[in-house]
Amino acid sequence: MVNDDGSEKYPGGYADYITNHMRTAKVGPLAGWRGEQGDQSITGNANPDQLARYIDNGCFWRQEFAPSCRYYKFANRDYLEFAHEAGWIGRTEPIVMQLYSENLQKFRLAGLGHGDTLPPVADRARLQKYFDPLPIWYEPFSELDTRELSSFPIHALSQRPMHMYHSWGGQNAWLRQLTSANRLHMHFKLAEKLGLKEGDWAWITSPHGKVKGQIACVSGVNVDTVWTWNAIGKRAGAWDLDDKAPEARKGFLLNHIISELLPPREDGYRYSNSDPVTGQAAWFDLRVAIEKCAVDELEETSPQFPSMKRKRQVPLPKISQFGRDLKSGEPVPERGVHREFVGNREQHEDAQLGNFQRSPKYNGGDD
Amino acid sequence: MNPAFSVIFFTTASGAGYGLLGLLGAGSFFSFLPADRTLMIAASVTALLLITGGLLSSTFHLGHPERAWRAVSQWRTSWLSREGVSSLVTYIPATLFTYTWVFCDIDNSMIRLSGLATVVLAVITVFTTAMIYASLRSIHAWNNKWVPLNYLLLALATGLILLNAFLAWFAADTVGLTIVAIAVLGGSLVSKLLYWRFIDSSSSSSSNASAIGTRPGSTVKLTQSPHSQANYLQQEMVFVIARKHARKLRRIATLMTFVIPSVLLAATLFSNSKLNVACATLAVPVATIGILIERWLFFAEARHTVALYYGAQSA
Amino acid sequence: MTAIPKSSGKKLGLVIDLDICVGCHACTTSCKEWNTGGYSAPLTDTDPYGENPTGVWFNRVHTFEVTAPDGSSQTINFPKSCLHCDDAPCVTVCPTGASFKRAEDGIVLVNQDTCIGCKLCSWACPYGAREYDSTDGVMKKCTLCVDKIYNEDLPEHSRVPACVSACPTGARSFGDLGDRDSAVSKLVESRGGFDLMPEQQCSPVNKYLPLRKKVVPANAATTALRPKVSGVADALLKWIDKSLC
Repeated sequence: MVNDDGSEKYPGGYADYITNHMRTAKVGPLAGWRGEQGDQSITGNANPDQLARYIDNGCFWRQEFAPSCRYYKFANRDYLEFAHEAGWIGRTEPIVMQLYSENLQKFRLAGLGHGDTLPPVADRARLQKYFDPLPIWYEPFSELDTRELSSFPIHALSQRPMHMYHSWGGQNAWLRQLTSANRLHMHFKLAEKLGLKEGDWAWITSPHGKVKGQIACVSGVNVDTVWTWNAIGKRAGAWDLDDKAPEARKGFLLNHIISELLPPREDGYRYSNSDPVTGQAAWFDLRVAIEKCAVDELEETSPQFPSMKRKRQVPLPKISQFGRDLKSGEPVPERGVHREFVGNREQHEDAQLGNFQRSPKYNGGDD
Repeated sequence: MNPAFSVIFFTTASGAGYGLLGLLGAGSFFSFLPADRTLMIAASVTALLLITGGLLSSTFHLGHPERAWRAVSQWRTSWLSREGVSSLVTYIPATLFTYTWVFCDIDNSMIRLSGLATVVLAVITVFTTAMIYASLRSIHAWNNKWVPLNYLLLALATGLILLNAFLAWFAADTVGLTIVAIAVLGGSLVSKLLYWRFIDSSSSSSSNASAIGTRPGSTVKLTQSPHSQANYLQQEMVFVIARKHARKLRRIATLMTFVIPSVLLAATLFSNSKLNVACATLAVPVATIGILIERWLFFAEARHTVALYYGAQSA
Repeated sequence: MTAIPKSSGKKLGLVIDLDICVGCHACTTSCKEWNTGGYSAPLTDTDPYGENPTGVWFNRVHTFEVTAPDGSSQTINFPKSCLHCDDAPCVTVCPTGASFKRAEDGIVLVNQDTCIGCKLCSWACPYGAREYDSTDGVMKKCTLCVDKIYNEDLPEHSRVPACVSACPTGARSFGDLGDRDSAVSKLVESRGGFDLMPEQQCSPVNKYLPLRKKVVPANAATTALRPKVSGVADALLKWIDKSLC
C-alpha cells in the first residue's frame, strides 16, 4: 500500500501494517489494546505498543460477550448495536435470512428482458435458469455432457486435514510429520474393479489433465466417489522443504486436474467452472477416470516441476529441539509464569454479570 | 523387533564365553578336563575376553553408556539389572579361577571351589539374559519357556565347540567331549526347532480387536497412520521380515549352527590329528556365523503388540 | 525405585470417548507444545524439513475402520498416549530406577538424569507409550502433564493435561479413576468403559469409551426424502414421482 505521493504507507512491513492500518475510523486488524494508551478495546486509534501487549499475553486478547448478546444474534438488539459500534456490521437492523431472494429475482427478470439494463442475449437463458429466487439444485455443468460422464465416471473430492486447520503450514515441523503425503481413498469394491490395491500408483484423469497418486482402500466412502487430503502435495523445494520431501514426491493435488474453465461448448465458448450465482469454484464437481500405472512407471507423483529451492545462508537444522531452552530448573522471571492460552473453558463471572469490561485476570498488564 | 547388532553380538559372544567358562569350571571341579595349565589359562582368558567384549558391546546400545553402572541397582524387579549384577559377580570366581590356574598348584582346592562357583554363576547369568526377553509379555515370540532353554543350550553348545577346538589345539583327548558336544548340538537343534514350531503355530493373545477394544470377529484396518513416516515405535518394534526370507535364513542357521559343526566334530572322531585340529577349528567360525543368524532371526521374527496399532493383523 | 509402589488409592488418568473423537490431532499437537517446554523437554524432531521427518510425540491419533461380520463398517479415531498402568511393566523392567510410578497419584514418569537409554521399557510396554529421544539418549513419555495439573500459576480450570484442554469436542476427560465417586469413574461406569488389551495384565488406568450403538430406523432410506401427504394427493404424487423417474 502506498500514500498518495507514492511513498510506502507501512515502511515497517507487516508489523507496521497490522498495528497502524485502519480500514475505517478506529477499526484495525487487531481488536485488543487499542487507543494511544492501549486502554481501549475493539475500537480505538492505533497503539504503537499493541504488538508488545499481544506478545505479553501469548498472542491472545479476549473479551466476553454480555449474556444478553449471546443468542439469536441476527435479531438481538444488544448484539446488533454492539456489533455496529465495533464496526463489524453497517446497520443495526435485524438481519433476516430470506428464502426468497428478491435480488436474484431481479437478475432473472433482466434475463427475461425486463428493465432498463439488459444482459447480453447469449447469457439470458443462463440467467433465467440459474438465478432462481428460491434455493434450487442443478446438475453440475461438467456432468451435462453425457460423453464425458461415461469417460469420467468417478466423483473426486478433496478436503483439508483437520490438523491443517490448527495451523495452515506444511513447513511446520510438527504438522508435516502428521501428514507429509496423501493417498487417494477409494472403496475396496472400486479398487477391485480397477485392479488396484493399497499403495498402488494410479493416474487420475479429468477432461483437464492427469495427476499421479497412490491408492488407499477404505470402505467408508461411496463406491463411485474417491477423495484425498488437500493442501499436502507441494512443488519440490516449496516452503524450503528438501527436494526429496514426501510432499513433493508422493503428495499430490487435485488442483492439477481442475480447470478454471469448463470444456468448450459446441460453439467454442468456455464457461467458468464455478457456480453461476456465487462464483464459488466448483471443486466438488470434479469427475475423473482412474487407471493403474504401468509397472515400469516411476513411483513418484506427476506432474513434477523444477525445484524452487533457494540457496540458504544458514542451512536448515537436521535436528530441532524447540523448547530445550524452556526446560526450567529455575523460573525465568522475564518469561513470566506458566500460562495456558489454548482451550480456556472458564465461565467468566464478570461476563455473566453482563459487563463489558475485560476480565482483570486476563488483562496482560496485571500479571 | 528391529535386530540391534550390539545386542546380537553381546548375546552371541557372552553366551559362548559363559558356556566355555562354565565348562572349564565344571571340568576342574569334576576333573573331566586334562590338568594342562596352558590350556586352561588360554581357554579361560578367551572366555573372559568374549564375556567382556560382549558386555562392552551391549553398552554401545545405550543412550548413556557412562551411566551404565546404575543398571545394577534394580535387581529386585528387573531381569536386566539381575543380568548386570550376576555378570559382574561372575567375575569374582572367574578371575580367581584363572588366577589360581596361573599362580597356584594344579591340585589347589581353590581351583575346584572357584570352578564350581563359576559354573553356577555362568548358568545364572545366561539364564538372566534369556529372562530379559522371556519376561516381556508384549512379545509373544520371546515370552515363552523355549527362550531360556534355547539360550542355555546354545551357550553350552557354543562353549563345547570352543572347548573342543582348544582341546584339539593342545592335542588333548577329545573323544568324550566331542560326543557330548554333538549330543548337546542335537539337543539344542531339537529345542530350536520346537521353538520355531511354537512361534509359527501360535500368536499373542492380544489382537488388533483387543488393542482398540472392538468385538472379536470384526476386521480392523488401519486407514490413517498417526504419522506419514515411521516413528520410533515402528523403527524399533515393527520390523517385518518376509516369510520366505525367514525360512531361508532358518535353514542357513540350522545348517551352520547345528548340522555342519556336528559333522565337523564327528569327523574328528575318525581322523588323524592334523585334520582333527582343522575340523575342530573350522567348527568355531561356522557356528559363530550360524548363531549370529539365529540371534538376528530371534529379533526379526519377534512381533511386538504395538504393531497391532500400526496395521498388523496379529502379534 | 522400579518396584510398583503401594497405591495411595489415587489414580489420575484419562477417559477417552471413541464415540466423540473426530481425529483432528488437536490433542497431539497441543501435547507436543506443552511438553516440549515441560518436564521432558525438548520433544526432539529429526530431519524436520527433510525427506524423512520424525520426532518424539507423547500422543498419537490412529484411524481404524472396523468391519463387523455383517459387512457394516465404522470409522474409529483412536488417540493413544501412556495409560499409566497399575501394573506397569515398563517400570519394573527398568534396571536403573529411572522409570517410576508415583505412589501419590499413580503417574508413571522417567527421570531423565538417571535413564541410561537401554530402551527396554519401550519393549516392555505393549501399547507403545514410550518414546526414545535418540538425540538426548533417554526415554521420554507422557507425564499426564504433571507440570500443569498441579501448577498453581494456572487458573484452576486449566489444571488438566494439555490434551484435555485442547480437545474441541470434549472427547477427553481427566480425573481420579481410583475414586469410585469421581465424575470420570461414573462416566466409565455408565458408558461401559474398557481397558485396552486386558490380556496383557497391565491394569491400565486410562479407560476408553466405546462407540454408541447407531440407531437407524428400519424404513429410513425410503421415507427420508418423500413429501408427507396422504389420500388421493398421495397417490397422485406417487404416480408423478414414478413417471418422472
